[in-house]
Order: sequence, then C-alpha cells, then structure tokens
Amino acid sequence: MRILLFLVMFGSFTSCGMQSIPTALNDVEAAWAEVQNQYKRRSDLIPNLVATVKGYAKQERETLEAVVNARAKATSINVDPSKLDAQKVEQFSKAQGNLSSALGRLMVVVEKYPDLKANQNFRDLQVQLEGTENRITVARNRYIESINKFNKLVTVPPTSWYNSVFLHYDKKPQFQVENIEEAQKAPEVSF
Amino acid sequence: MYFKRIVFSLLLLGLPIAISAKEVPPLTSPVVDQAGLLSNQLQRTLINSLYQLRKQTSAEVALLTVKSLEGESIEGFAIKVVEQWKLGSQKQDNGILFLIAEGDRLMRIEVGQGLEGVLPDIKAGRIIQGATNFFKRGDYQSGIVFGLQEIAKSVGGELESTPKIIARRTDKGSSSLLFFMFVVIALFLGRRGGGGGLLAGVLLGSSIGSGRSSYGGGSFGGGGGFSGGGASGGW
Repeated sequence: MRILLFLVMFGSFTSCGMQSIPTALNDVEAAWAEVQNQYKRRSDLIPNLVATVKGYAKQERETLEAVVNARAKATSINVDPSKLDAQKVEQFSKAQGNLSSALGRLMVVVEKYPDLKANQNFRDLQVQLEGTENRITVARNRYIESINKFNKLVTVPPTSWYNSVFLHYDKKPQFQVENIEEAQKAPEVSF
Repeated sequence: MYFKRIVFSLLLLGLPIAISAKEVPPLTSPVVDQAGLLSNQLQRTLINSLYQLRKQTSAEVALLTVKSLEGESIEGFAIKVVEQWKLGSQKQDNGILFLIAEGDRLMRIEVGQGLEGVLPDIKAGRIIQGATNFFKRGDYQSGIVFGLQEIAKSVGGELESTPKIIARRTDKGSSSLLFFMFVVIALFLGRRGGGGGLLAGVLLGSSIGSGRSSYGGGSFGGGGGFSGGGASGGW
C-alpha cells in the first residue's frame, strides 16, 4: 500500500518538472556542445582549403585574407555550455556568420579557376565543407528544438511552478542567426 | 451541436499540419521505391541482399526513392527520414540511407554517426559521382545497384547476389548492357529451374521463387543516430 502511494507521488513529481526540467537542461547543454563541435570541425578544414586555393589563385589575396581573419575571430569565441547567455550566444553566431559569408565569397571567386575546380584535393575539400555545413545545420536545428523544449518547461504550467519554487532557471537564449540576410545573399560575381 | 463544432475546429487545426512539408513514408522494408525506379525482380533481390548485408556487418543500409521532394532540400528531407526510421542500432549508430529524388534529379547518402569513420563525406561524394554517371543516361537501376554495392563495400561487407555493375566512364552503355544480360539469364534460368537452377541460385540467391517471408531479416530501424554526415549530388 505504501509502495503504491509512493509510486503515485513519484509519478506526480515526474510530471511537475522535478525530472523533466533538469533532463531538458542536459539536452540543451549537449546540443550546444554539438553545435560548437561542428563549427570547430569547419574551422579545422579552413587552413587546408586556403592553402589549396592559394596554390592556384594567388591574386585573390583579399578574399583569402578575409577568410583567415574571420576564422581567427570565430575560433576565439567559445561559449561554455553550462553558461549560455544571450549575449555570448549572439557574439558566437555573429562571428560564425561572418566566417560563413567570407567562405561564401571565396567559393564564388573559385569559379574563375577551372584548374582549381578540377583539382581532386580541392573537390574533396569542397565535399567535406558541404558535409560540415550540413552537420552545422542539423546541430543548430537540434539545439533550437532542445531550447524550445526547455523554455516551454520553464515557462508553461504546471512544470513552471516547480521551476519558480525550486529551480529558478531562466529561459535560455534561442539561436539567432544575426546576419542571416547577409549570409544568404549570394555575393555578386564580377569579371 | 457543440460536439460537431469542436470536431470541425479540430479538423481545421489539423489541416495546416497535414499540408505542410513532405511526409516521410513508413519503413516497410530496406527498399522503399516510391518513384518506381526498380523492377520487381531487382527490388526483391536488393531487399534480400540488404538483409544479408546486415547479417554480415550488422550495418543497416536502406534505399528510398521518391518522385519529388515537394520543395524541401534533399539534406533536410534526408535527416527527417533518418530521424524517423532510425536506421542502425542504438549502440553503434550504424545506419546508412541512400535517398534518390527522381523529379528533382538529386540524391544523397546519409551516413549514421557510427559509420562516419568508414564512410567519410569524401567517399560518399565519390560514390555519388559514380552513380551520377549512370543516372545521367537514365539508367537508374545500374546507378542504384552501383551505389549500394559501394556502400556495402565501405562498411566491410558485400552485396550478395546482385548483378555486377562496372563503372566505366569511357565505355558508355556497356555496363547497362551487362546488367541487362544478367537479368535475362537469371530470369530464364530461374523460370526454367523453378528456383532450383544452380547458376540462378548462385546469381540471385533465394530471391527468385521465394516470397518475402523467407527473408527472415526482422524489422529495420533499431534507434541509430544521425548527425548530418554524408554527401549529396545531382545529375
């Protein structure tokens, strides 16, 4: 009888947020770690890419330098998963967004060099870069989902009551792609 | 009266969900050929050999063909499919999806987390390039078999009893001819021998004259995780 009572109480606790909120928090942290991990994977590819392009297109100095600088900036910003705050996340996504657009410009410039495009090493790098961009998209979407779940638990009753009494968690910052328009705008090609 | 109204408003609520985004088809077997690119014969052979491949390597490789992506990106749709199908085991994350969108002329190999080491993006990209050569000629069957064979090789197995596909860029058409002859011979022997012909047995395994029940493969989709690895391409 007591066990039954305990089970009923336990059951009601699990639906009140005692279990679901910390679980969701862990998921958020894991999802953010994955986002950073995939961005890091991208920046690891860049030195190789820059070196390969340099071999064929030395005169594109400006574009190459922009990529190198954007990469340096982007890698300098890291956000600890347990200390996610809106400002830091924004800084991070802005720096990565700048790197994305610098890379986009480089990929357009590359179109002028058929020899480079035919280079197997470059083609492999291109495939890897595409794969990494796709992984970033997936990781970012999963982070957005996990944040959504967490924020719902923290703000929507009945779990929000438990939170406001015991846990006092704030909503987590959603991932904003700040310069999304800039990143999506295809750079103009001039010959 | 009220009941009717509630039902009606619920229906209205459900409507936008129903029309938004392309739906993921159910995973009924390792080969889901919605676009109808495969002959019945080949489809059965492939299903059988993909089950065999799982026996050999424990990796779950599945093929999905669709007519159209309905405006979605191939990467987005692929990740939706694998999130629902969960190919591969939960422990090893060893699933691979070969997705072909006929109308959009796009394809993708989506690689499970556990197989990104043996089938990295570069390798997946090369398999796509190889398959593209067949697809450009409209020879979907050879392209699909070629792609699946290469995937099977990379996970350390072999696609048993499938026709040999040789990718030769210079020699146009020969591989599809070879494939065609293979099917004809196998069909002929299979029919004459009622499944007992030795050569046919070797060539096509148990696919001829045996129904689905004999696959004995069990269900696909064991909870494998994907994180967007693989490669896409068009033709």
